[in-house]
Amino acid sequence: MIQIKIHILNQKKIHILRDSELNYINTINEIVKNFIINDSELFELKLLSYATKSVRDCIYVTNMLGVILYINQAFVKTYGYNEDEILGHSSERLFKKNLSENDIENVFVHSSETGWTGESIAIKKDGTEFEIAFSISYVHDDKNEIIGLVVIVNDITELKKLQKKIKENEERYKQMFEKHFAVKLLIDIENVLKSRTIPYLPPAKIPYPVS
Amino acid sequence: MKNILKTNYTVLLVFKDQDEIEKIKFRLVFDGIIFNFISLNSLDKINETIKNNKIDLIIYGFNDDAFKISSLQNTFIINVCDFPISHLNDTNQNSYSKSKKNSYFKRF
Repeated sequence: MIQIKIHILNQKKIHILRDSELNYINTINEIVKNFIINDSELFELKLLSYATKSVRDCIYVTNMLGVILYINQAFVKTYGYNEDEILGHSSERLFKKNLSENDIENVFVHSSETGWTGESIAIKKDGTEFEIAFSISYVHDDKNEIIGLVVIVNDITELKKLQKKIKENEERYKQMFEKHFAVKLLIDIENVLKSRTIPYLPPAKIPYPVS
Repeated sequence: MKNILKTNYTVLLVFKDQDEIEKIKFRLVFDGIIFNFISLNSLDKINETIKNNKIDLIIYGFNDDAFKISSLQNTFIINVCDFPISHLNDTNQNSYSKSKKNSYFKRF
């Protein structure tokens, strides 16, 4: 029997030597099996890559020193940096420096063994500040060792504007309740009394009898 | 086999001998994988077939490249050779002349 030789010229093409007894077919079987496993892993990676790219929230990955290794398309759109401008740079530039005490309180709202979530102020490439909700998780490798951080950022500027508007409306509503004399009842859709006001009534003038 | 995400593969088999094609088809059986085989007995229509089908894998039993590999970015190719493959290391495969091939085959 002729010994079958396998030689890889490049990643995509393999040459094998045909033997007279067609034993090479078994070799083809092994090669195809490996090809399918590799192709499937590549497919999985592509799928994850496309999924990450398609997510509407900004995603970036850093190493343990905070150096940015990956950004998705939403990041490019939101922050204004393209890959060449931000990959390899520190993620510090994405956060507002000199945070006020109030800001710092909001930075780490929740922490756990797997990561953190919180709110902060972020900075775009053009210097514009915007409010974000973020989640930071560790990236573990096959040996469960931490190799980096994945940060998911959600622009909550509009949400914050809405919250501010709601708060202003509440305040106005409250003032309206307190200022006016009429009795006001706040009743919900199921006819349950939620609130009521008792108006301030100035002391009544008692008419003295005319003698 | 580990968990496979892609389960459908189109395989182009190009061999002069139909019996050889059938033997390869018979051996290529893996759990959960569906192979769609396209077989040709010559290189004549290979470019046309590649153009009209999304081929994942080509297994061909001819010594010459009759098709443009550069156009097959995502296709894996297995070439079954009849002569020592060390000569394929040459960037110009034609340098391995027909006379040398013939002298090799005479040994069988």
